[in-house]
Amino acid sequence: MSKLRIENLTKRYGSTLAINGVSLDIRDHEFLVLLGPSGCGKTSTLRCIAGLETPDEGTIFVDEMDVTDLPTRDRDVAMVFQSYALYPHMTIYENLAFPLRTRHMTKDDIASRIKEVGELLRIADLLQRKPKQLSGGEAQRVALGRAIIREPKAFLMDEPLSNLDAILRLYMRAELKKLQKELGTTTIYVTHDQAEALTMAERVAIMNHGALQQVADPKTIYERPSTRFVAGFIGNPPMNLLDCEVVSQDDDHAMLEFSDFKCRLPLHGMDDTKSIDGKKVFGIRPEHIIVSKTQNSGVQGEIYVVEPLGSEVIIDVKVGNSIMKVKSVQFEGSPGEKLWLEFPEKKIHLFDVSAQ
Amino acid sequence: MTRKTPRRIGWYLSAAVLVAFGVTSVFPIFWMILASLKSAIEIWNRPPLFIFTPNFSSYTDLFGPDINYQKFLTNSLIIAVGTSALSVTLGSMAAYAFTRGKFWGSKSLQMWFLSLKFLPSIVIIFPLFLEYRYFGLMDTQLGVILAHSTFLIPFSLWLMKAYLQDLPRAIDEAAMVDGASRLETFRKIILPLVAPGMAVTAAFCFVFSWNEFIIAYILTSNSAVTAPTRLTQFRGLEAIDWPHLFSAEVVSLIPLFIMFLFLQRFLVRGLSLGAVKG
Amino acid sequence: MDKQVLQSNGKKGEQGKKSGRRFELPFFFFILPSLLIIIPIVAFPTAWVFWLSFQNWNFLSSATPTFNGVNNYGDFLFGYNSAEFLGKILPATASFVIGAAALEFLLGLGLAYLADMHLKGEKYFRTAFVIPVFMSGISIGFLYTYIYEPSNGILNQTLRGSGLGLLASNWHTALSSALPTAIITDAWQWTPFMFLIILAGMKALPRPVVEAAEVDGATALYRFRRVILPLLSPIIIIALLFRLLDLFNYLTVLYILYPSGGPGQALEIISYFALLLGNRSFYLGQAATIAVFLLIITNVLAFYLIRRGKFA
Repeated sequence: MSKLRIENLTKRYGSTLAINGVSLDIRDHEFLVLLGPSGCGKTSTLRCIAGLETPDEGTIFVDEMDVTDLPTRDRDVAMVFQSYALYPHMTIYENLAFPLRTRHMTKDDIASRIKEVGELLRIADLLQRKPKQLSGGEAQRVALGRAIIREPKAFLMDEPLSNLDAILRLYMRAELKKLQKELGTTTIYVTHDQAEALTMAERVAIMNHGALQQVADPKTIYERPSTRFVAGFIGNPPMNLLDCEVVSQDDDHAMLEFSDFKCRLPLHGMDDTKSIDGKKVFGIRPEHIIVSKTQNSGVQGEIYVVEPLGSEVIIDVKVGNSIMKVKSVQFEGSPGEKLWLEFPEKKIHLFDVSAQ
Repeated sequence: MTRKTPRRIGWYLSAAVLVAFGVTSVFPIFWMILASLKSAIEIWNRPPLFIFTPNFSSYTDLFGPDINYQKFLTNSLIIAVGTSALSVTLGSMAAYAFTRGKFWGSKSLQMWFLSLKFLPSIVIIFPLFLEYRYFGLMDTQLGVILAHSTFLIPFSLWLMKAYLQDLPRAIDEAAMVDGASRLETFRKIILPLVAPGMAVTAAFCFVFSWNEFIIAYILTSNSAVTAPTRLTQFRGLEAIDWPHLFSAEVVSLIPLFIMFLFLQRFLVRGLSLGAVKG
Repeated sequence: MDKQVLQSNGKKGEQGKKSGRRFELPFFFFILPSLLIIIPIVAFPTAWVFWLSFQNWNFLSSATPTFNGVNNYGDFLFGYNSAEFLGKILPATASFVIGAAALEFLLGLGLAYLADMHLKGEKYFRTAFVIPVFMSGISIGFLYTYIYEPSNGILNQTLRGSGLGLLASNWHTALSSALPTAIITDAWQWTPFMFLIILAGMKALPRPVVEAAEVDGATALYRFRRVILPLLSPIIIIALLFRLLDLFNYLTVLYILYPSGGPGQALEIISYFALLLGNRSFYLGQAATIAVFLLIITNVLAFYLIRRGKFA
């Protein structure tokens, strides 16, 4: 079990900057998820840690030892690939034995390790099969087995669940998390699926355009997104983000001017009252907006579309020329109807325009 | 992929064209086999003889003390097997390096290697002749094997690259994460997985080495002469010894025919050097 | 423990290092064995050819080459050999190489189109059609010497016997028909190459696109010209380049079928010319000069092919 640290990791492919000075500390036993849209550099980061890519700049430490120039096989990390990458010509037994054989473990030790892992992952009766004869879920478990069998310093997982169907994926999510808790192995898990990230991670590291946006536990990520990107990436539907300008402020209120409406907001709910002026991005989550059909102090809008989802309703509300998404548990209405939206002061976020 | 029945006439017409071309392809070979069973006079008979008493004497002569064709068949076999083993081994290794690794100069080196597939033998044959004389490689099987591998290593590189590119990278990355070195990954993971491709490549190398003429002709004189090259010796100053020539041709075609049966399914890929999947 | 960490930090961690080449050494060892063969047996002779091309050397009459600058090149391009080289060898090469590639392409394309219509019989046709590819050039050379023989060869006998006596000719032995005969002979062996590749290309065509054109009411000819052919063109170009390169390397069949270059040197294409210069006349300096010309032509084509097909 180990901690990992990466410092100022930078990787270029030709002229594109895949990883842009990423520094990250992964604690011992931690389950850290690297989350981001495709092409954000999360997989490249993982591959640099694994030693499958060589960073252009930066250093990678495993247990305070610089492994940046160490070949993959000397890093003692295990990786689970999106495609599982089981060796097609070997039986499951041989697949599991492979990482042990490369470490010159004795036959008996190998057999007993495989027995243990086989039972742990419930693949004991698959050992004589070839990878082709496995279902997706079974192949997935074997891939996990090949990673855990040699008790590496860390697990690196590259979208390991994305090839499974939706139901199996939900099931494996819980399974995997439980397994990681039991083994206590430091894990870096790459995914583009925010639900996966938020449910599994102890901490989530969100990346975009090669740069780290925010590293925090899921609750903080959801409640206090530090950048406009994180705010817009997390949540389903994601946070409403509107450009605005702070035109005036007094002790406890600020006047926000949007493109075609104005709004007066109480300030004390927000933690950084420091530099609230000039152009900002106003954000509020759909589930935090309070809708009312009777006039109140809120902003007026009209219903654009109503999307019932069973347990909840998404209402697209037209405010001026912008559309805001509102999530409500119970709502009935039809397009064109007038509505008033209230933004609870503690739920409002203001982001810098530049922070992308 | 059923398509609607084309108009009947067009169907028959196109079938007739295909049959005509098919027959044109096979008939000369059939005619050669017939000729190998004819006497020197029957070979030139007017009209062409299709029905005659087959005469196997030219075949028995072939393996008699005068011609001793088995010697040349053995030479060809050793050279073709040696060349394909050498070329496929080295070609696969190079292909692995070029598909998996990037290092300084790798791209230019690869371009050069690939281009050697098209280097006309005639370009290097005379210096090679002088070089071989100097090093005592003239008229040796090893000399021919080395010279053949100069275009068959690049051929193997072309083809094995295609097979290696079909193999997901994640497989060898997994092996390396699992603690295998590059060489171990190549031996234990890559080689078993591309073994079918190597067999195909080796069979093609066998055919090309067997059929190669200029190198085998210039670099041998007696003890390492190959079976197809030996055919030229049936052409005397005055005339050609047709019966023996044709029986030798037929015999030297047998290994090729066996390879043909094996390679049929892989022809497109092999002939297009992996550019087209058949 | 802590000390070590600090040391390794100080040594490596500080300067942002460029180490994108960690695997250079292992990979190089995978290539090294090939290099060990290719350098002495290809690179060295190639270098020697360049050197030889600036020498005057008849292998039989003088033991050592003597330097004569660019005279070999000058002779071929402007001097006393230029009439032969520019007037005969190059035109013969161009006619043969382009003629054979064009004929094989057209036949291959046509046959692939026809074969694509016959889903069931295609396999048998393909098997029969492809057999010649496996024959050695020497066998083919002798076989066609036999078939083309003007008086008693089966080709002329059949033509005469079936009332087509007018078509009987002296084939490879007459000046007028020598080149077309060589082209046809090559087409007999290598049309299947074009055919197979084009057929594979046709089978890989995006069916919906072809079918959409059919639904849109395009005639078969129009579909072929405006939809199928453009979609196939990348593959066709690659196949043609492969074939052209092979044709520049071509001489085995010619060596047998046209023992001294054919009537009026009609088939002394550049590679054959080099062989005759070196092997029959023993002018190794001049043969080397021709080899350099050939090397330049084939390398230009080969690098274009590798670039175009993104093979490297």
